[in-house]
Amino acid sequence: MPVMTPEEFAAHLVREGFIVPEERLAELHAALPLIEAMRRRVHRSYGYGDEPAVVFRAGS
Amino acid sequence: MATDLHRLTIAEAASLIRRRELSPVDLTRAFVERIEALNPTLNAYVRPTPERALDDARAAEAEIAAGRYKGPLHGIPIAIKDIYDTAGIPTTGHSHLHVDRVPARDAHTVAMLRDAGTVLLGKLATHEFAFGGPAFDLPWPPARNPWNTDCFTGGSSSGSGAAMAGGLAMAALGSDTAGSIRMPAAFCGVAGIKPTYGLVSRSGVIPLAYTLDHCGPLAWTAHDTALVLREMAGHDPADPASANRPVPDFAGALGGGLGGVRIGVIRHFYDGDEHADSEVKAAMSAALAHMESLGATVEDVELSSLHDYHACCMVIMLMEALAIHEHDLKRTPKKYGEIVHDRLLVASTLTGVDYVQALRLRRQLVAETEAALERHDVLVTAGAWGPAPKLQAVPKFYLFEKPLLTAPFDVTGSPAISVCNGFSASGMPLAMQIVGRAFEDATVLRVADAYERTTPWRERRPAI
Repeated sequence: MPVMTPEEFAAHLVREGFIVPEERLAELHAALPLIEAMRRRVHRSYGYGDEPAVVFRAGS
Repeated sequence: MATDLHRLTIAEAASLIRRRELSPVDLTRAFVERIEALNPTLNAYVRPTPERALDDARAAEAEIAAGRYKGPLHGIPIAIKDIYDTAGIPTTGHSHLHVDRVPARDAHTVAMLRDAGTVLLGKLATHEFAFGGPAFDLPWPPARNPWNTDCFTGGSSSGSGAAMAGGLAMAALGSDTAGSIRMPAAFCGVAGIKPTYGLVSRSGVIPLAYTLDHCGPLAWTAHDTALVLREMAGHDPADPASANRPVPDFAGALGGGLGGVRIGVIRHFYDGDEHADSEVKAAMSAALAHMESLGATVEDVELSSLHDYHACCMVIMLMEALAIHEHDLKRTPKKYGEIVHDRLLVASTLTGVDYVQALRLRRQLVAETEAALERHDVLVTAGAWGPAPKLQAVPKFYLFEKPLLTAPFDVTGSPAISVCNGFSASGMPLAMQIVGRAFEDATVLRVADAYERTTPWRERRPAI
């Protein structure tokens, strides 16, 4: 997923209901590639049987 | 002797108290005086509780005199990270948001330790909500490293690490979501164990990330962490992740050597996926050779990249933390320090799909770590990339940059301890982690104790 532009990031924060810290927006935006790198690592070619770690036993 | 009471281990003090050769009141007074003298420099405590401590100590002394000795923590002065609820004593998470929050009840573990007869010295500094630090825009300043007060303690159990290395308590409670017990233990040169997920209750502790949070102790030695862990572990119906199984006598299993112990070294974590300082690598090589000389077999193991474990941990932690703080972050953003606020706003770009994919990866990472632990009794890797950095040099987004060596074992829930394995040329502590199978915390402690007893690192103290 391409990293958001600064304008897209600001719009995202507004849409999500956060108050945009205008004076630090560039600093926050510069951190987005770090999040994107982590996001890419957790996306794999999972199969139907690759269940998440929080699947639980009913009644336990 | 009075001036050296703060250098006793819990095991040593407990033996003296049991034989009535050491007064819990005298012991507590020594710590209260030391806190008064040094806390303005170290900032380890956000709230010392000297009157409560002396009341607890007098009660312990009276009980012991009446023949009602409770066990090795009776009359032992401890301190608690300020995310554990303490009845009648503010529990703030080191945040302006909760600066006046006074819980009505103790956290489950706090109540257990009180029942064990401990003496409460006070509440300890933390990164804001065990997440945002080191920071200078919070109600209290960040803790400072007793080995060099210009340096970072590690976090988030920053006050816990500082209190242990500075001799300001005999044990400290911490919490660990990506390394928050083990990083301060590493940078401050003490022992800190993150127990198996589910072994120690989280109820009454301000959460950071429900599926990653672990509560556990820091102390000067692995032996002392074993004594504290014994008293804070056990089933709690109020914690949905709490395991209902017997709690072993961790300290009772200590004292042996390492004959027959199979150690797997995750070398690529610190010398491959990323590269630790040369001093860390040298300390690791020396520690592994030493454990081999004690009878252990040592061989390298290969797991997924440290970057995979770290990304898995961070995506889960950030999404759960954002869910926990979403309401307050939108309603009262100025009550948060800049670090928590900004990290969570950046994290808001992650999606629900990202979270589930991280949980799917987590199952795979748990499986491969468990497979490695079928072939080995413990796994060993470095505790940190190098000695503690300067406090002012820690970037806001460091958690997203270089991976944490501690994060993999929050992902897997495995028991993991950090112990000191040497010192840098600059005189700062270095550390290694010892990791075990789920609910085999006793094995981890046994290996750590055998290492500590046969190396000189526990003899060196900060010159403070």
